[in-house]
Amino acid sequence: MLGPLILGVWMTGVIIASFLYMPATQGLGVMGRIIVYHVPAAWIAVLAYLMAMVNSLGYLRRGQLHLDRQAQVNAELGTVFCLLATVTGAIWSRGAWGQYWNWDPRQTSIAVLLMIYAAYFVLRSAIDDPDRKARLSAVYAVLAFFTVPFLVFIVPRIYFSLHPDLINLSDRSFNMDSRMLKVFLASLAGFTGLYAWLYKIQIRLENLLYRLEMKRSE
Amino acid sequence: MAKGLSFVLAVTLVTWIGLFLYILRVDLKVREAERREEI
Repeated sequence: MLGPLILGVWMTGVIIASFLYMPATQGLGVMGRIIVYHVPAAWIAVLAYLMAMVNSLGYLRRGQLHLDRQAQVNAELGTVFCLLATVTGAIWSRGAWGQYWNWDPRQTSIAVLLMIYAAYFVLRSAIDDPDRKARLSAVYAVLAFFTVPFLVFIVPRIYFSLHPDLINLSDRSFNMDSRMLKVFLASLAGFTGLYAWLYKIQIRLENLLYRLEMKRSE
Repeated sequence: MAKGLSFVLAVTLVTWIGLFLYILRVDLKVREAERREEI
C-alpha cells in the first residue's frame, strides 16, 4: 500500500510544482504548463500499446489466455491515456490556436489511432469463443501497433504541422528550461507509476473474474 | 499568481486527489475480493 501512497504524494507535488515552480513557456505562456500532462500521457499511450503488442505476440507463440487478458488491459489503458493526451492537446490548442480542434496532422493522426484501437474493442466484443477471440484480437493488436510509430512520430513530421516539437531535429537539440525539465521528468515518472498501478489493479481484477467464471463452469 | 491560474491549480488538484482516492478504493476492493476468494 506504500507505493500508491507515495505516488499520490508525488503527483500532488508535480501538480503544485507545475503551477508554482515551473516558469511559463517561451512563446506558449501559461498554456505551456499543460506539456507536463500532455506529453507523459502520450508517452504512456505508446508504452501501453507496445505492451499490448508484446503480450499479443506472447499469446500467439504460447497460446496462454492470461497473455490475452494482459494485452486487453494494456490496450484499454493505452486508449485511456491516448484520450487524455487528445483532451489535453485540445485544451492547449484552444489557448494557442483559438480552436479546440482544427485537423492539424497531429490531431488527425491521434484521432485515427483512437479509431484503430476502438476497432480492437469492437472486434473483441463481437466474438464469444475465448480462444478465437484471443487469437484474432492478438493478430489485430500486432498489426495495430505497426501504425503507432507511423501515426505518432512520422506523419506529423512529414506534413506541415503547427504542433511544437520538443526535439529540434535540424540541430538535434532539446530546448527546455531546467526547472521545467525537472517537473517534466518528475511527471513522466509519476505517469509511469500511475500506469503500473492501474495495470496491476486491472489485471488482478480480470484474473479474479476469470477464476470465478472457471469455478462457475465446473 | 493570477486568480485564474490559482483556480485552474485548485481544480486540477481536486480532480487528481478525487481520482487518486477512487483508484485507491478500487485497489482495496480488489484486495478484499482476493482475500475472500482464498478463504
